[in-house]
Amino acid sequence: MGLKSYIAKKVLFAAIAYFVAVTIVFFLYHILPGNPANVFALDPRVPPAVREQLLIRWGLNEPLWKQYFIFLGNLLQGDLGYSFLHKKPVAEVIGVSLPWTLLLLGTSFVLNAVIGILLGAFVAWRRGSKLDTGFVLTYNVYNALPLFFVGMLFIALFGFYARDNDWPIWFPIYGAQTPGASETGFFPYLGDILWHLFLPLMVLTISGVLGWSWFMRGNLINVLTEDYIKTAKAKGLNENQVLYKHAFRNAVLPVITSIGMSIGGLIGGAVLIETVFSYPGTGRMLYDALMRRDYPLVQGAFIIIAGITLLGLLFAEIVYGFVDPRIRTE
Amino acid sequence: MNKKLITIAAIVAGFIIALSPSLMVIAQEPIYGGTLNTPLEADAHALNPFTYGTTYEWYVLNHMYDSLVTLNTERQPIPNLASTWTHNDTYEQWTFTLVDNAYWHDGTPVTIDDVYFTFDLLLNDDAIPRRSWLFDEITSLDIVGTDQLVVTFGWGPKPADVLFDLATTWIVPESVWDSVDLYTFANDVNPIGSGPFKFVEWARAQYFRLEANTEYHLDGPYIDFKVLPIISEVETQYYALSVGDIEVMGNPPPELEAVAEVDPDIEIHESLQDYWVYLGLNQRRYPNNVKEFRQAVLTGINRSEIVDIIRYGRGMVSPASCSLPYGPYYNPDIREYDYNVATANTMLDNLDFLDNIGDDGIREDANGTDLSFDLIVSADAQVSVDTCRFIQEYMLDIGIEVNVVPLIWDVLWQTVGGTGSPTNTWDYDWAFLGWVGFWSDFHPSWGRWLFSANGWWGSDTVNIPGWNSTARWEVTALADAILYETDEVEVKILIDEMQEIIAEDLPYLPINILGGVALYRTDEFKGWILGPTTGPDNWETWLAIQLVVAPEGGPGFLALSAIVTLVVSVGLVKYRRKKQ
Repeated sequence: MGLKSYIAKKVLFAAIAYFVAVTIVFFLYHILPGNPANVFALDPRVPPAVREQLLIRWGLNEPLWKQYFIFLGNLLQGDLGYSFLHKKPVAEVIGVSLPWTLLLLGTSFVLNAVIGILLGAFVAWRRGSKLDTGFVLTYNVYNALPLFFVGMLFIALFGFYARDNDWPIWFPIYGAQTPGASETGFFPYLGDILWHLFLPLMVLTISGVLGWSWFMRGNLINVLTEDYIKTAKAKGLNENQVLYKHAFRNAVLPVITSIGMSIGGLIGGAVLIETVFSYPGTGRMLYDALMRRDYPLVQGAFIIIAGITLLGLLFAEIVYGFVDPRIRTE
Repeated sequence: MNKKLITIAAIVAGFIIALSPSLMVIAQEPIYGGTLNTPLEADAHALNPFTYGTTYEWYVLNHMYDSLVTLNTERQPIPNLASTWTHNDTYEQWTFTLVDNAYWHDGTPVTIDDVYFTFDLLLNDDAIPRRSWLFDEITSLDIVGTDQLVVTFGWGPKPADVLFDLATTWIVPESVWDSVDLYTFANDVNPIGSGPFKFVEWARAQYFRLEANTEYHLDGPYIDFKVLPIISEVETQYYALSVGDIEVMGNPPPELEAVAEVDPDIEIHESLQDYWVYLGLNQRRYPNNVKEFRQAVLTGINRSEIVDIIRYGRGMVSPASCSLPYGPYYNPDIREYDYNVATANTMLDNLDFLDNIGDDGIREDANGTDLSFDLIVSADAQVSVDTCRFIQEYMLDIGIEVNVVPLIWDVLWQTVGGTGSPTNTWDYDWAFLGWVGFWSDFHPSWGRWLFSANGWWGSDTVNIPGWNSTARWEVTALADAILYETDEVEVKILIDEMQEIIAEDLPYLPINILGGVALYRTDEFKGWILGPTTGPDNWETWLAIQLVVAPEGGPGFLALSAIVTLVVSVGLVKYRRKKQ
């Protein structure tokens, strides 16, 4: 099978998977109990009849199959629906929080992947050393701590105590920007955003770097036991040639797949970290939409997440095809 | 030379004083300036006064929109957009007179046409979620002159109902709302109200920034800005409060309240919340429909312990009449159900609910069926689940088996029939639920909303506990009588009677009224207004609060400079004279 056929096959599979994912998203959410009119359920002053009228107004009184076809028809036209909570098109609602999520998770993602892979390779090559032992210990300790707890710890230390004890530097406790900072000029505003970004980014990046390093380290340790590595060493190749020319390329393949799969998570956000740091993002927005049964918003977000995840996977598989010729010939 | 110096110094000082808006240090004038930061736990979705769905939206809107009448922290009506209001002898015709100095945030005056437009909109669309029930009773709206709206009802509703329910409707500008679909209008770009604060910015999921309406028709506000940052985590909120990023926070966990107690800059305010929780025994099923059984169950629950342990002492045991234990309509002479295991056991013995079959400690009813019930509760609220576990233990002491079944809210709500759906089955034994939004202490129609078979919640369509004894019809008749009775003394007598019946028949088994605690800083701002049922961050506070110390370089600084200049000049002159 040539490269073109390989890519065509993968694209077809991705399209089918996307259709299935979209259908599952639609039905899964609609068969859950409850309805959006229950937004008013906690307020007994809103009569049940008014809630029923709202369901009719939102088109949720139609049979499920009819709603499904309307949904598919709209989707084909690029219409993700209308959020009845926000009273705005779904794309617009997601568009407001997405830049903040991409800033936080995108930055963290790049740092995690780059530092994580390199650090993983570095410690794997020094397996059994004090550095490696320290890495394993750090990974296990950090992994044992829930991320939200680490977030609270960072807030307490670098937000509260630092400020309370007049440390030379401290970081904001919540939010993504100081109210009114956008009126202070581009660079002060940028500085303010980065200042607010620092703590949540650190929490996510430390965790992500350790995770990817651990993964890379495991892969590389396995690869380093292969015969062709011994052969390379026996041929007299230097350390860097063995590591980066022979071992690294093979060890990084599963990491590429995982990176491709995790791209979709960028849109989903990091609910816990966003919540702890009161950081605006799609994670909190989605959680809120889920709790309040904002069907179109949840659907829209999941459709985008599913699409980007599949695109990421597709990209990873295509890269795979280039990196490893065996894949496209199998 | 000396005279010259004095004259110049006096002129300079006078000039500075004249420039200064006030000599606040001397004359105790308000200090202007500052930004008050009060957090929201979650973001709003839209800013639509007719369809808002959460308290967060209500809170934001309340800064920007005004009503004819506003309730103060004692929940008494005070004039806002209406300078006065009158009614005829039969209370059928109400006349509201608009103030002449109110302006929309875009600078145009608030007119009686705007008030008419708002009322007319709500009068003609009964599907609007945020709408007083009294709009259904209006027969005509008329504008008289240039500043009066006459509201005519088909009968004479009492002042409390009209003022608390109808006159607290937010008034919107006709120029904005006349051309939009009120169901889809998010109103989030530049909402125009006439309230004490103007909209500046809404950074979604981050904060609202509002600025003081300097043209406001009432005194205040004195602060320049109000920022409402969205901070979900209580711990984060507390850290923000501690470092002075925010000035107030509501309902801290007890451990944080204990920490706050030793902070000299933080004060604690306790209040009662507009929320009480109850045990609903589904009276469509035997023996829940036996009054004495319900009484025994309530007697067997240690409600004080629930308040002390589960609610950390916040709030109080709810009277059996389901009303708040103060205010003009509270009847203290109702039946009480103090916790007493022996009494509860005796009451069940008297019903012949004994443990005759086996020796499992569980009583049987008259049909020989074990007194065993599923108690459904919202899994979303751990504190409610904990309360049910306590109830489970209390019930074992009186020979009743309770199985606690946590359910997600939607399932729970459908199961108890709260949706009002025609397919309701009310398939449950016992349920743990709560009521919000019924201030019995000032609202004579409170009983009608909750209990009357002619009201929504008491009707056969909903009627969560399935209350259907003769007492239900007695209460319904009383509620109707209260609705149409305009003699306040008679109203009080009728409400007293209603409370006695409810406390005796127990349609609901009220457990406790929730309490609220708020922490607020006193080092930067003064003028917090506190009420028995409101926290420090309320409408009255917004108008009254001001900086403790004038900002540097501000009017206070100028005034101080003037005084210092005078004193120094006089001193210099005297010194030179002495020397000469």
